Amino acid sequence: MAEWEDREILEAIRTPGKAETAFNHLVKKYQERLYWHIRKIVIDHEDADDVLQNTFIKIWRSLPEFRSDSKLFTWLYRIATNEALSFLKQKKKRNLTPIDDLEQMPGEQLESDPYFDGDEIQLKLQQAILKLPDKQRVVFNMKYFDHLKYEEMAVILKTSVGALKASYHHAVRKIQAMLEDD
Amino acid sequence: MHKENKKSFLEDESLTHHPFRVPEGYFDNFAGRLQQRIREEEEARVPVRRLRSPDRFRIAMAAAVILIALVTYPVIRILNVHDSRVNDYSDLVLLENMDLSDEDLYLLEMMADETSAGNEEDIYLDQAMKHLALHEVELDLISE
Repeated sequence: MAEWEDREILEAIRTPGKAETAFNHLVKKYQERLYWHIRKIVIDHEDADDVLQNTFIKIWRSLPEFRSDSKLFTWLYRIATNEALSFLKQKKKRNLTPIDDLEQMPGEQLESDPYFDGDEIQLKLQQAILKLPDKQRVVFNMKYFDHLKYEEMAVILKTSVGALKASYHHAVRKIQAMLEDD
Repeated sequence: MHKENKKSFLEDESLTHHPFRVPEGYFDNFAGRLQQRIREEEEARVPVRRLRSPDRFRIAMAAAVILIALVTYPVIRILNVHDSRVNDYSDLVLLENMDLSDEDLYLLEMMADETSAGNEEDIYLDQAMKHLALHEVELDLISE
């Protein structure tokens, strides 16, 4: 299946009888990028799969109201981020586990996760990242792994560039300190 | 951590490749599973019945009628009470100005009591006869 341009997808979405095909192209085009973004937030594959499905269902329902003056990718990323963060919040509520314990849990689970292939250094880095507050972790992941520009992140997270820079540098300092403590 | 990790981890390019993976064929099957779930959810959704415009018009009309009734009813009641008080008052004034005797008043009261019970005309005649007899009017003249 040839990859469609965002413009083509959006035009077809608004054309009667073509919406489903267009949406299918959109899913194929963005599923991997959104999956990895979500996976880095929720860590577990099954959770990431649930959140990705919920994200695309929300996208499907909101697409007719999407305004073409913002970038499609930015809009998709924002929905995925919100879904992932809401999922984590609900999960913490459901488990009724003290927050400190929960921050330890995913880090420990990583060692037995069949879908984690990292070596010792990568495991320690991931465990350090997991100790960051959720939103700071999102900022760190977007910059460090996804190499997004601060300007793009500012649109996705609806935050100022200055606040994002500060958040990223705090995250780097914390992670560095945690790695040196080990 | 090892001594070499004391330098910033940012300098280690290999760490920027995240170490997660997905089950075999996950991305190939994802779109199909998603379409299936969307279809199921759309079928399960209870359609919300929207009111058609004639329904909306009828409901608006009924609401307007009820509102008008609610507003006008107390006003009409107040006016009615006022009217009956005015009527009672005007009767009293009339009686006072007529300069009637006790007998006339007695006759009027009797007439008022009996008009509510029986034939109005008979009662009036009966009472008129009594009144004339009381004032010693001759029988022939009464018949006339």
